[in-house]
Amino acid sequence: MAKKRTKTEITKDILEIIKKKKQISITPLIYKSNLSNNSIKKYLTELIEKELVEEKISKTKKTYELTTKGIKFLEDYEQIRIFADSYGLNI
Amino acid sequence: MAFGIFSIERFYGIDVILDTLIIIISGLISVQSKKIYSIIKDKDYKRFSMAFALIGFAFLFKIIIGLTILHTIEITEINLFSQIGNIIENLQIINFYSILFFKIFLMVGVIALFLITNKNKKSQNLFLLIYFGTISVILSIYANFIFYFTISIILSLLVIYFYKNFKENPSQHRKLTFLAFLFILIGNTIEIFNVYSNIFYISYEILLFVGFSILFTNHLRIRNGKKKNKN
Repeated sequence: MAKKRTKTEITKDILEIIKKKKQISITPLIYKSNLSNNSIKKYLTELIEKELVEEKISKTKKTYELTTKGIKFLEDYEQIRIFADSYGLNI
Repeated sequence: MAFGIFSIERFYGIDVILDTLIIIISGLISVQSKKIYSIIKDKDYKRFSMAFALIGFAFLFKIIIGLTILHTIEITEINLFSQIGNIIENLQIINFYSILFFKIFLMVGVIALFLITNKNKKSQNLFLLIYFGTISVILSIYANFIFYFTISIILSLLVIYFYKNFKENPSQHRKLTFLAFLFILIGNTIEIFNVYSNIFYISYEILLFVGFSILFTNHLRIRNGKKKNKN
């Protein structure tokens, strides 16, 4: 059985998807992140509050982009993962 | 006229240098953990940072203990004996409180590390450990070995945890953490016998430094991991 992803791992996955696509709307994000509609909305709200993701509203749709802080989070993620791994901490 | 009142009995002051390096390493790990807390807002990282900061502070007090032993007193007055008496008395007070704070900070730091790594958040366990920690610090005023014996038991549990962590999914980082704490444990266990010979204290100090040096190596590898990810 696959190990359940932690909150930080889900956050990292969402940010990586957005980074890869540069700009993405909610439907492909739900599909690619393997999360429910409600869950992804909760995560996106939190990511926008933390200024890791920026919401862009055009006439037809809402899209999401990574902020500089979001890019920094992904850069630091490997350091966080190894640190947690070394001391057996959760991330 | 200068009088050397206290002889340099143990390790010729090299321990002060090693302890300074241990403070720097503890500080670096503490800052690293604090940075992670600021990114992912997981309180365990804040607690982990505080635990290493406490260990760093403990060694700061250990340096003061060493300096009060190494102190050389300058005597210029005619009233030589009363002056020496006063200085020795003051140094003894500083020495006593430094030993006390060294033990308290180190004990709390190690207990905190144990509770964080074992994901043990039950307040009863925390109070029980703090209680036994306090008892051992108080009793160690009369019998020093009790403190190192208690610290060794808690460190043994930490070493077992880090060994299991390594065995579960072997990696170089996990191995280094396990080895570092193993050296720190052996050092503290040896220090239990320090009343018998100065060689035990010297071995304690060297093993402790080796343990912290391994933690420093791991710290550098984690930092390099970040750089690799950037490229």
